[in-house]
Amino acid sequence: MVGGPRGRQLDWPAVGSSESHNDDRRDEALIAALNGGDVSAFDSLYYRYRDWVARLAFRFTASDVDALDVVQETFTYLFRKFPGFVLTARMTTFLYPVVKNLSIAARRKRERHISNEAGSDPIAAPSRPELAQSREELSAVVAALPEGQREVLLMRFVDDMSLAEIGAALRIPEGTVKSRLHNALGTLRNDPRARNYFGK
Amino acid sequence: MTDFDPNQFDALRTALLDLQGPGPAVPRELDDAILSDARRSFAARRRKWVRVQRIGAGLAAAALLAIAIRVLIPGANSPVRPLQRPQLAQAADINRDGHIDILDAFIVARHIARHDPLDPAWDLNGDGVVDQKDVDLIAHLAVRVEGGKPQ
Repeated sequence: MVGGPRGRQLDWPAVGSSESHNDDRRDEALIAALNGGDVSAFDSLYYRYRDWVARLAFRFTASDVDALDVVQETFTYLFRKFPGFVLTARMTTFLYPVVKNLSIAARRKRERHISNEAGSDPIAAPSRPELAQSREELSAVVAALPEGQREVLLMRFVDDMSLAEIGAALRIPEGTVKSRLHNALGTLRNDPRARNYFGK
Repeated sequence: MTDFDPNQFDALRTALLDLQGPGPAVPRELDDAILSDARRSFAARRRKWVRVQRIGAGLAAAALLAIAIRVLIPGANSPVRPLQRPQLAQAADINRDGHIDILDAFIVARHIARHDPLDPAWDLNGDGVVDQKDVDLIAHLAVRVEGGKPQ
């Protein structure tokens, strides 16, 4: 995988992987090819980021249906940028605010139709009944973090974005990113339900 | 140890990744819909983009040509040059009565209005045509504080 998100591979499908689209070209090369009229380069970009976008959208919407809608809208937004698109940061940095805004809009739209929906926390920890007890406890601790801290924590640890990339994606100073991350980790470290994830 | 390196917190990182889960599986039909939509859109936008680029290139070439002509052939882009101040004062005295006044402006204005033959010497601003701008210029000269006497 070249240029895609650097997420850790677990049991679920690897981030950005696709058996039929193993394109070794970097994102910049794919974008240049697209700007030059090579439409097939979009397929490579799509399969490289599709699963990351779907996961991120699910993080914000906590709904499969909404997340898939967001996937479609995100890539529609992306391909309408071509030709003439210039990538000035990593693709995840560019896509993150797009996915976030579309997800929040989708979630609000859904909540308007479901009056008894739970609160409107933009990054709700999805319900995962299959999780072990300790993970459920961690989930609860993470869910209780202030939204800004939780978002930065997940961007750093799950999306593997650098501090600078997080700052660029959220349009906040890098110092603020560090501060939020520091506070989030401090909260987790001091909570007995999450302390064992920090080792000795 | 830094708080900012996920590799320092391997257990936490693995747990957070696990918490997030795989996300929804994207159905093949959605892949096809998005990609075919993109191809259609690209084709249309690409044609438009090429057109815009060609127009832009044409305009740039025209601008370069104009600049080259102006630089290489002095005066080529202004066949009728504006009159200098003494000439202007002479030319603006349309009825040759020794004064530039509103009557001079009126004479030119009347010729224009009646589509009567126009004297090229009345092209005071040197833009190649005798029109309202020349009338205005004569009127301006006529009402100047220092008076309308030709020099």
